[in-house]
Amino acid sequence: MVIAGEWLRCADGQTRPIVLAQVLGAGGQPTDVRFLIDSGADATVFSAAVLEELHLSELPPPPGLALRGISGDSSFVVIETVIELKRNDGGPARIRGSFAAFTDSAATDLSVLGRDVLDNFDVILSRPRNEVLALAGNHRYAIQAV
Amino acid sequence: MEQAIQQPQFTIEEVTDPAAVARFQAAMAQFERNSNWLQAHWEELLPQALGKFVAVAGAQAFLAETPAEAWTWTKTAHPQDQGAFVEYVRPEKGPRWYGNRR
Repeated sequence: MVIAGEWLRCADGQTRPIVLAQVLGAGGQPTDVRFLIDSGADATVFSAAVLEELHLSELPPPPGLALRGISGDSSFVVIETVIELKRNDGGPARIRGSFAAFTDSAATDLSVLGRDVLDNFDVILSRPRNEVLALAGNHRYAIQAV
Repeated sequence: MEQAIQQPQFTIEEVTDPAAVARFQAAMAQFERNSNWLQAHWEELLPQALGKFVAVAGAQAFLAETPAEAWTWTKTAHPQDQGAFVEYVRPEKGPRWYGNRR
């Protein structure tokens, strides 16, 4: 399985690795989400703007667990949903599980795909080659001297 | 639920059903078109977009004060567009570090 993202320019002029996905909300209704690929983030988290549209049941966060966004500690809830990432053959890879979602809009602009999901893939972020790739299953990478 | 977040377990499935793949591809094509449109039009939206929610659908943008207002615009202005999205535009400048867990 190969999932390809892109290096996209954000509002602040910075170019970041982003993958487009659909997230299933109430009744299986898909919502389009641009995820920052962040191997430094421990957990995947949805932005408050995305949470607003999903209309899913929200569970309180586990006791003693905090999530820190750009603006510091931020309130969050837990939702169960499916993230659909586009494979290079065009079909979706469905990732089903429990995810955090910020309730404060200022916590983050982009939803974040963190290591809880990324640990299931070989992740390649190459700005010089303009590549954003996640590999799993029967795909792998090789390093060659050129 | 606490265990689910702290020790996450996911199921990952490759969907091959032709109907599901076709629906997904059609929606993603519209999403990619809108995402690319935003890349090419940030300059037109700034600085007025700072601190607001930008909605993109039908290769158009709408600036809203709330996410609900932004999503409502996508449904009323472009009801056929399956690739609409909404993002908050942070007003702060400078390097940023994204979230983690503690």
